Amino acid sequence: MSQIYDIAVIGAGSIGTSCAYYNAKKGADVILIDAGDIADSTSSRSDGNILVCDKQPGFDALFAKASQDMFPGLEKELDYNIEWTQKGSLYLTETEEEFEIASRFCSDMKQCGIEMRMLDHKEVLEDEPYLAKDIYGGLETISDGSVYPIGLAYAFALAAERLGAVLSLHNPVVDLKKEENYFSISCENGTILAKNVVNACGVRAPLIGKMAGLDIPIRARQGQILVSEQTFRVARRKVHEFGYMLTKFQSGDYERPVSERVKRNEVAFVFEPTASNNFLIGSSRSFVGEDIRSEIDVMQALAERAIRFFPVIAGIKVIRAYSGLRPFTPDHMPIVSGTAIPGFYIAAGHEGDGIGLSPITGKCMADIIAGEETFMDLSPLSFERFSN
Amino acid sequence: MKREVVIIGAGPAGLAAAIEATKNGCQVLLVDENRTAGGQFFKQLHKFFGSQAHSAGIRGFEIGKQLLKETEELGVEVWLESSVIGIFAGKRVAVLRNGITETVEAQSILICTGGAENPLRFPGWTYPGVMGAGAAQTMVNVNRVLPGKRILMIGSGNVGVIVAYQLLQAGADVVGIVEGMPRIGAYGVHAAKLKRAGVPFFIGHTIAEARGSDRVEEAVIARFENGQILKGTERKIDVDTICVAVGLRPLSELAQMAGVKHGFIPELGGFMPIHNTDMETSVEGIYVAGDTAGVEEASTAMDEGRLAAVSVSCALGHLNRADAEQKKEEIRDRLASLRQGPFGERRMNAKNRVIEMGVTM
Amino acid sequence: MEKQRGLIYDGYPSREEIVSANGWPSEERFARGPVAIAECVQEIPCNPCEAACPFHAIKIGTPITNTPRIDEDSCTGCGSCVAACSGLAIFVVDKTYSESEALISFPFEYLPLPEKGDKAEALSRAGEYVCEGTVVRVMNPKKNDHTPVITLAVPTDKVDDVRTMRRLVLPEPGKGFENVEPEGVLDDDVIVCRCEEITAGEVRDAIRNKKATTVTEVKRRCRAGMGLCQGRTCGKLVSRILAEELGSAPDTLTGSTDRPPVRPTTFGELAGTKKEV
Repeated sequence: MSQIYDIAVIGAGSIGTSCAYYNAKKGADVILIDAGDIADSTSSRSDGNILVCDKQPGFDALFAKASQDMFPGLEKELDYNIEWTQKGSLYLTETEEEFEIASRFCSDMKQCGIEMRMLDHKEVLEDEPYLAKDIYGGLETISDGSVYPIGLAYAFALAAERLGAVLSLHNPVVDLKKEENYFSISCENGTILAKNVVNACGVRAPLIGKMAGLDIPIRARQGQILVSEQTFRVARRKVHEFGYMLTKFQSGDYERPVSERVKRNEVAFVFEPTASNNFLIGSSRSFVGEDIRSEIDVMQALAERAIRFFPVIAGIKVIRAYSGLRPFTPDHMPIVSGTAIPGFYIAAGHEGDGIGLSPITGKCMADIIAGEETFMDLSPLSFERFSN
Repeated sequence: MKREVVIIGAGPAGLAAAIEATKNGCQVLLVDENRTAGGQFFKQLHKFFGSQAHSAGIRGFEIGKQLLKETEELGVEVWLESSVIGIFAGKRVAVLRNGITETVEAQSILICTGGAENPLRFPGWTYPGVMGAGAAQTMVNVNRVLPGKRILMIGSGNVGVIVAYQLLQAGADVVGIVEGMPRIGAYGVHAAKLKRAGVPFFIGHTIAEARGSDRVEEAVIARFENGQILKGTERKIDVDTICVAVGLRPLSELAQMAGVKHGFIPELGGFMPIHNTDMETSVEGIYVAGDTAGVEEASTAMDEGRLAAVSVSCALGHLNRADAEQKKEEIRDRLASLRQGPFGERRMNAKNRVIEMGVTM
Repeated sequence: MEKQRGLIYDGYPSREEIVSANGWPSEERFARGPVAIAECVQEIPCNPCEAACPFHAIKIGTPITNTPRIDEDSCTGCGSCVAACSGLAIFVVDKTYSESEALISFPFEYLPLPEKGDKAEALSRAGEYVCEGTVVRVMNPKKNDHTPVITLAVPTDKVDDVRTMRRLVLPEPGKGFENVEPEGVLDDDVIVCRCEEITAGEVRDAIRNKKATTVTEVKRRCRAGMGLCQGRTCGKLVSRILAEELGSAPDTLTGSTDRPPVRPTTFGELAGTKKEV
């Protein structure tokens, strides 16, 4: 009879590789299974932001902060250059009304212990000299940083392998059955047996869930990105519009003064410099199934919005556009928990935060499976919350 | 903006297609990123092969001029200096033109973007002075600039040998033609022109190194057997230019982006869009012709363009089925005549495999 | 190893190849005056010579890949075919020119052209010096479309060997070939991706140590193909290294995914607004 692993993690994105790593670190026999390569899906099509600034005050922010605090040590621990930088982030507000909303948000976040400060018109222009001269003000978050997202997933996967985890890549799962004491996972290259299963399949978590008889309410929310050529430093760190919060959470009555094209594609300006002197421009949001083709109308809206905040960008070249699928849950919070099926766990649904939340997700998942107490009460992330 | 047919690339295939489709009554938009239409025609100073139906015996650029004149007379809408940057869902073609991006919605798209030169990796290949043979041909025949005075050509296929001849004519010295295979690849008549002019062929040889301080000053060649350099056979020669002519591959990024299925056909340049006998791809309404549909020659490219145009015209209702089939058969017969003999047969068999792959895919 | 002879090895056809593919005029025919000789020995799709002959002496027929045959009785040696041949592979020989000399007419597309009466170095099919010749005719009418036809008088016993003349202006000679020791540049240090300056060694590392199995997977691990040209140049080089390392057939190695814009486009051009000056 073949080996029965302690844990099979299905999905080798940033979340799955992290779960594999932290479980292997606890001494578990882990197998990491993926239909394709490491970071083949959402993790290779995302930006590398490690943010607390875009979380909601309360649990959301604290969970994100705990994850962010793990990054400074990761490069050394994983022995891989994940291109971690921590320069903070800057929100831009276009209007006085937006500035007011941001100010309230800032004080709520400060109460949670998140270090933030408001910047007035003059301060924000001093902070980023290439900004459009009419930007009303800004909101700085001190601890935000970024990584190379694909590198992060490799780092976790290769470190897990060094700890004894088995990597079973390019091996799609076709069925999953619960036997008495273990799961029988049928894959294209054979059957894998494991006492516990972590479903870390992001947007495809519902497919694996279905095999186990669970209905996981995750939907693919597409986002598109433009990549610039290597160029001068347009901005020194992550800069985005505060309107991003409003499109992400689809909340509030505030209407941004934007064009029809920007509005219909739910485009909010996000700028992220990379370690290789390119920058990424986001963001858009739409529910279009699993379509990851780029769309010219969205690309144009992204470019238009970027130029609105940094006019100098108009003369810089776009070398690539791509899109990815965010695993969206109805309440914008991930699922990191067990299920009614003993031994079947879910770590998925991080929407646009999977890279940033990956270390804490993997760590908590390892604690949960080991039956240990997690660093805080994770009931807001339980799968059960969707059972009604 | 809407157009019935958008043809991307105004080279041999695109021009011939635009003329045929317009004659059949299609509303055509022909887009090309260059300042003038004609594609490779205007680099081809030599007299073309083929039959009279393929303008044989006429120099390439003269054929180009004739086709351009015809497009003008027919009033074909041509956008020059216009780059197609992508094909998007719903057959929308995004064109970068006059500093802005315009989107044209097409009923049918014909992609004839041609081929691209293959690179060759060897120490020193990134030095200034190492260039594709096609690039050297553009310099000498279009821009009237000699890329160098002492030139080594890597590759003895038709491109390498024709370009070497044109460099000689322009006054450069071609110090040799290096060929990794144990035989000359080009048509013998092209090779014989160079041989008469005293250019040596080094068959079973390869380029081992390019040397220089900040640009190419010397080339090192060596015997090449079973994919390996034979140690101890290295010889150097002083050159200022190394031209690389190791084949072309179909330029099919736009087809890939449009979701067209590809297959690997080494004789036609490697990965290429799979198409049927009408030149239509796996995506309905998207057609390919010319080097994009497998690297061949300008003469086959023109006929493939016409074949695609007839198919499009029929699909859009401008030609009745019987007339279209008759026209297609005439063109297919001409194409078959170009794909005969020891050189053509390989391509003919490869083309048949493309069609078979299309059926089974 | 015995050297193989013939067009595909030497770059020019042997007498046997010519005789078998195109035929050769009989001695009686040579005795009657000028006659064309085709030296087009491969089956390639080409037939302009057939139509160029006003006396219908050249036969290709169907398929057009047939090699040309010249009917020596119909051929008048007029030379219309010499400039009409796209492959510059037809010549006219006249062995009746004088007691001691014969004429060879050949296409010659190099400037400057010689003038009647000039002495010229007559060269063989292999480009080697055969003898001195005298230019007796330079034909360059409009219908030749820039393919001048030169006629040289050479000693009769040399005329079967002479097929051209040395160009009148030659490039300065270089130092030529010398044996040399290789510099021993490691292939691992050779750049593969020029935009991002990624070496063959870094690509191999991605395959050997980081589990890359496709061009896209290599790109994600070491950035080969992520630069301005988006892998248009290096894609094929990377797949070749992958094939070597993994022993996989090239047809299993798809290229990386092509994404818009396929030409670098500025944000301003994309947004549809004019670039700021």
